[in-house]
Amino acid sequence: MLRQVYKFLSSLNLALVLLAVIIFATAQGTYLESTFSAEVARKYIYNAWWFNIWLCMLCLNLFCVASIRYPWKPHQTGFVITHAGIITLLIGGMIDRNWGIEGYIELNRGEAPSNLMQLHKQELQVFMPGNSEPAITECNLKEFITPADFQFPVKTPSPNVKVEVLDMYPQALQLTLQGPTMGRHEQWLFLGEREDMGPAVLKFVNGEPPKAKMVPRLERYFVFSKFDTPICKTLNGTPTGATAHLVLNDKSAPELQLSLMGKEFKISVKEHLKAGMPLEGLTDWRLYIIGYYPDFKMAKDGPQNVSEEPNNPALMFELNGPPMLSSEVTDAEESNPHEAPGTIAPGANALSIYLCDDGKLRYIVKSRTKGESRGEIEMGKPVALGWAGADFVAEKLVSGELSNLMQSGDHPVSFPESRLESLPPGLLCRVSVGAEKKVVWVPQTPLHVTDDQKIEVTREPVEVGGQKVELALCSSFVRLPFKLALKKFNAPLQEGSTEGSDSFTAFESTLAFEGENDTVRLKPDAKLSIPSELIGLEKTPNGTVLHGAITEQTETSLTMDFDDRQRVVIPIADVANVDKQTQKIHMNHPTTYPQTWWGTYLGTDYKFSQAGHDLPRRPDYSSVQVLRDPGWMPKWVGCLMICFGIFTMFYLKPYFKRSPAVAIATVTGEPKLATVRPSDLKKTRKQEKANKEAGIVPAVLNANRQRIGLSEDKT
Amino acid sequence: MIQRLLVQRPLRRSATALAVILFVLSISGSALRASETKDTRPVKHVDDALENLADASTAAALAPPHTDEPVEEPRPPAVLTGNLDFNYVEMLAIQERGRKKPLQSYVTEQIEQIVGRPLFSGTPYLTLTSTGERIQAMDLFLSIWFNTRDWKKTPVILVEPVLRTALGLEKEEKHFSIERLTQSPKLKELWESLREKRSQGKDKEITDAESKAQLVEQRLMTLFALTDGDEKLNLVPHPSNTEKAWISLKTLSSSFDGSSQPYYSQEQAKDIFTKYLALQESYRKRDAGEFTRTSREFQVAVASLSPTVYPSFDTLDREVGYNKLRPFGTAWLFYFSAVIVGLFALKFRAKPLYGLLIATYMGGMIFQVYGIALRCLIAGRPPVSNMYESIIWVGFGAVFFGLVFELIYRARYFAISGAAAGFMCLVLTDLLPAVTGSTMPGLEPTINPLVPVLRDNYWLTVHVLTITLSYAAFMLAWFLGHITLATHLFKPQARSEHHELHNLIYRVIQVGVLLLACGTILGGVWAYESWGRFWGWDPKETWAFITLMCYLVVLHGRFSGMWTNFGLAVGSVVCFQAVVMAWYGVNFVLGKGLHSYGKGEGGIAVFLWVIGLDIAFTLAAVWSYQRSKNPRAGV
Repeated sequence: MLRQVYKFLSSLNLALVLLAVIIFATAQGTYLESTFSAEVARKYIYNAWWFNIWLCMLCLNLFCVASIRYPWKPHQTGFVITHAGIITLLIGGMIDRNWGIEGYIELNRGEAPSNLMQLHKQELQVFMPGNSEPAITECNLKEFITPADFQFPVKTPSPNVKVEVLDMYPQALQLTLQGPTMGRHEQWLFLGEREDMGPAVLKFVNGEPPKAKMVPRLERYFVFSKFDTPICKTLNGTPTGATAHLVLNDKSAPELQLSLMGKEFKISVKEHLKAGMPLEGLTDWRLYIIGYYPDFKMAKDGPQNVSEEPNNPALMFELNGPPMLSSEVTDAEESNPHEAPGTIAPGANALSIYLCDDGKLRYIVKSRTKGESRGEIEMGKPVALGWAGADFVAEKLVSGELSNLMQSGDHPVSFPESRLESLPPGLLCRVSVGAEKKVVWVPQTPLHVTDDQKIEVTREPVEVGGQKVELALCSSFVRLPFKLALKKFNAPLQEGSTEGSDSFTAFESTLAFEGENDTVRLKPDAKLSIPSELIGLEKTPNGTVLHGAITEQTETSLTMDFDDRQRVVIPIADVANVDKQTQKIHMNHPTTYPQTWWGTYLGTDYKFSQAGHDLPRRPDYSSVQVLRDPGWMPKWVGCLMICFGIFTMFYLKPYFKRSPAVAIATVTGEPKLATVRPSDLKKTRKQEKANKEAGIVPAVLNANRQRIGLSEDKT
Repeated sequence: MIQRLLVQRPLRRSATALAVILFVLSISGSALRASETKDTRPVKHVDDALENLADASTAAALAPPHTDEPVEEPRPPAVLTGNLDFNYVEMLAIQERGRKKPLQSYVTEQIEQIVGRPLFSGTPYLTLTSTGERIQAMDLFLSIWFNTRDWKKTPVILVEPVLRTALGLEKEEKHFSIERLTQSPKLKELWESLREKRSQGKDKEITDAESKAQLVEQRLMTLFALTDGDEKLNLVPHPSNTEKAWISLKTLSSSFDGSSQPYYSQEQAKDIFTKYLALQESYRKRDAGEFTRTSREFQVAVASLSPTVYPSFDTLDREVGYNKLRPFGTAWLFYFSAVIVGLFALKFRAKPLYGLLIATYMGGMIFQVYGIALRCLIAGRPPVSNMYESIIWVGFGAVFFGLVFELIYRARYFAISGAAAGFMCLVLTDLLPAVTGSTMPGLEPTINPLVPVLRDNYWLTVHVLTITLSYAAFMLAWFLGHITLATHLFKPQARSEHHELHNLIYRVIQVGVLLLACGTILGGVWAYESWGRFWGWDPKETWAFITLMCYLVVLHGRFSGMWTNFGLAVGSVVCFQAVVMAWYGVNFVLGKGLHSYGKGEGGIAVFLWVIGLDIAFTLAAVWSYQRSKNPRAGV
């Protein structure tokens, strides 16, 4: 029985079946990767349990195929080496799978050294007051393709609180915008999204609308006759978006042309200088001309007039308006790090919709002419917008069915599928305590390292049935045993490219491990002039010492970058000695840490390679990949064995001669052909001699089989 | 410099003459196909450019502020007659897309994009239907640059048949004028709908006519850019730094307004402009002797502005020579002859015929090796950075293995297969860009700088060269497999031939398997060196792995006796599909993964047809084999 299993495991037919399945599975894997993503391919094929069992089977098969032929004959050398090589390689792979480390570190120049390595998976954290540690559930957002994928059980700190994942997309609101000039528009807004429609900005956010109060309006303008656009500062209230021009018809009569709230004014500057004037047709509005400067110059203590010649005529005036309802705009709301600054121009029309904690929708409409209005939204009821005579109707709030819609494909015609895919990642969760339930959108947030090296994430608070629960979604992470800092990130451009081009030739990060700087000691007689306030400059009795990062090294000079962003080029002639600690990495040129002589061979070092950048938005950001592969040695040895083995099998076989086949006299006296082991050669020779004496001639091998090279021993 | 030019000139002439003789043989020519730029420039720009063109005389007759010479306004007769010698203009250097190259390379790319790529012809040209005259690329380029003709009304822009039908243009005409095209409301509609589909991410719904309309838009933009040569051509070198940006003549003339540090002194600039205007003048007059003199003076003047930065004469000459010689075009003619001679040599086993076979084979190889070497020197890197280069390299590998095996076995089959492989690869690179237009960006022959991930790596080079050589061996086996299947199909009784062929296929597959195993493993070594990961199931490496497994299945099936030697021949044909997938499919069909820098599109339908026919042929051979089989057949 055991013998039969052994025979089956060592059969070539089994090998062929194993290979065929591996071929089909991996081909399917590349197809999955092409249609979905590498993560999906990995989940369903390459990292799947059955695929690994299959590889183990292959390992076993290779072993049995080789072992059943023991004792090996010389001509089987290549065969044995190759098969052993593949087994070694696969063992290396298993070691890497279990003990290897893979992740990435995000670094910003100027930040404190960090040991936070993020992994390519996320975790959903559930906090409750009283428990300092959250309950953590691991997941991988990139692996989700069907709605079934994200319905995984979520761990919570208390059995009373249940958390379910509903969707991988946030809530969405279907709106209809209509007006006499704009026609009818169907519009989808996803939670957290901001959509610029041209005449207005639409926004759909989580939380209560900001508080509002009545504020009088005050704006100050600088108008230059040489420039078309004035410099405007809104000192109080909502911006008006007024335009102003200074026109010089002749030297003595400068004229201010103002356009405010759709009305045009032509004001003679000389007549109204330093005097408030009402604006006809706009009640409670006043204009005050502060000063007129024929030859304007900005001095330290305010605007100055250099001469009376109209070389650079300028005008300063203020606009005072009636009090208006205005939201207190918090800094956090306006400075969204994911958007270029200034997407909502001051005084622009805007519609903001708030998904409040009580589940209701509220809106704030900002109109350039009519100011601000706010209220609660009822589904299906139109709300006036105050711009272009338009109104909007909230049609439907979709909460947790977007994946189903995407999957089934029978979503409405106006549904922006491509926009949905570019939304920032997150999970839509339902928290239930007892019978009460609440839905909350948990976007993935970056990990924040505090000054005392603790890690903080932004949590989404929710109160269900009197129970406070906080949810957070972030990358999984580990702490490395050492710290890392970015000293400089550099992306040189292709020859002849101008600034702002994206034809980069390389991405280079200069890394400092454990925050250690390079040290350059200058010769006492060095003539190099160094700015005295340089951070990293140390004057010692023995001469000047510089602490920074060496970012470039040529035969004649060293270039050092310092923490205060200064850069000094030091001629080699001035350098007494150099202590290099930082490492520069770029594509195809990684570095390792800690550098031990055995680490390279065993793969126990961490390897750091350039992975990502965020140009042109963040010029000081670099993402560095970290890998550690303790299975490297067996892999490397296995590879060498495979290459050498195949070569031996194909080309060296004729040199590994088969043992001479000799005719052995049998009891019956009939000669019989047999191969003999090399160790038995002496015996064979004796036998040969005996045979010769007995008059028996050794037989010749079947040359034909060897000639074709297909001879596979089947004895 | 002038002395140098004078000394070198005759040498180059003789080289050109040699090339010309070869060309008479080959009815061929080289062309650098203009690359497809991926950006979708809004239609608005075309309108803007049209407005500029209305006063193109300003662009054409750039009036430098430092010369007193009046610029002649009246246009000379429109007909381009007289044979001008463009050798010196071709040798002007230009900095473009991150590389310094001779003007000739640039002009060929640009003109080819506008007028289309001629089949098997050296440089692109335009045939005017009205007069029947044929204008060569450089002549056309200068005429557009110096504005010697009303280019708004001259039919010069290639319009594909699909688009011609869609726009209701004359079917027999190939080229149309700017005026005709921009006045077509239908074309504007196509641009609009194309932009709409792009912005909505509905790329799959783009029709053939729309994508061709986009091509026409790019051609219009290219043509507008050429009319503005004074501003667009970066002909003036940086005074000291080889990496810094060059400037155009217009920038040079406006660099003395004090806004920035001018590259050169006013005297130097004045000298350049004087010579430039003289060049324009002589071109307008079409005075051959004068043109040669002025173009030489201009070239020498520009080159001597910054001798350290300006590419050396040899460098420029090498590239111009490479473009004109068209080594790969000549090589495939030799290979084609070799296949014909080889078939005869198979039939008549005469020694002189065999000698001729080897001679033509080697002739093709010499041209191919010379071409690859020149390309390496010009680009300064190994020649496997895009599909075009890798096809040429694989072709070389197949030819090389074919020759080595032929010299060992003297079987004739190797020479035929090798020559056929070389022929197929080189014709593919020569023909396809012309046939498919810009729809196969991976096949562009333009030499471009490398993307960061491919730069400066020893293991990468070794790994890619090894893998592609294994493809070459498998390609040779594929051809041998076809010969074997054909003999099985048409000469089922020729046992000894079958036997010989089976053995030969086995030998070649051995080489392929060894190289592929080593290449794949070297890829792992490179990946480990570069970012610490030995194997990551990236599509390209996965398909290399699948290919290896496929051939291993074929070999092991033979060992185990599951199939006979005939199975080996069938395997060599069928498994090549895996090579095609790993080589072409991953980049063009799957289009994802770390190796996506080599990404391209197009040609899928053609490939499916070829694969379908190949499988049908294989099935026919298998059927024939089964029919004639007796218990010992094929072994």
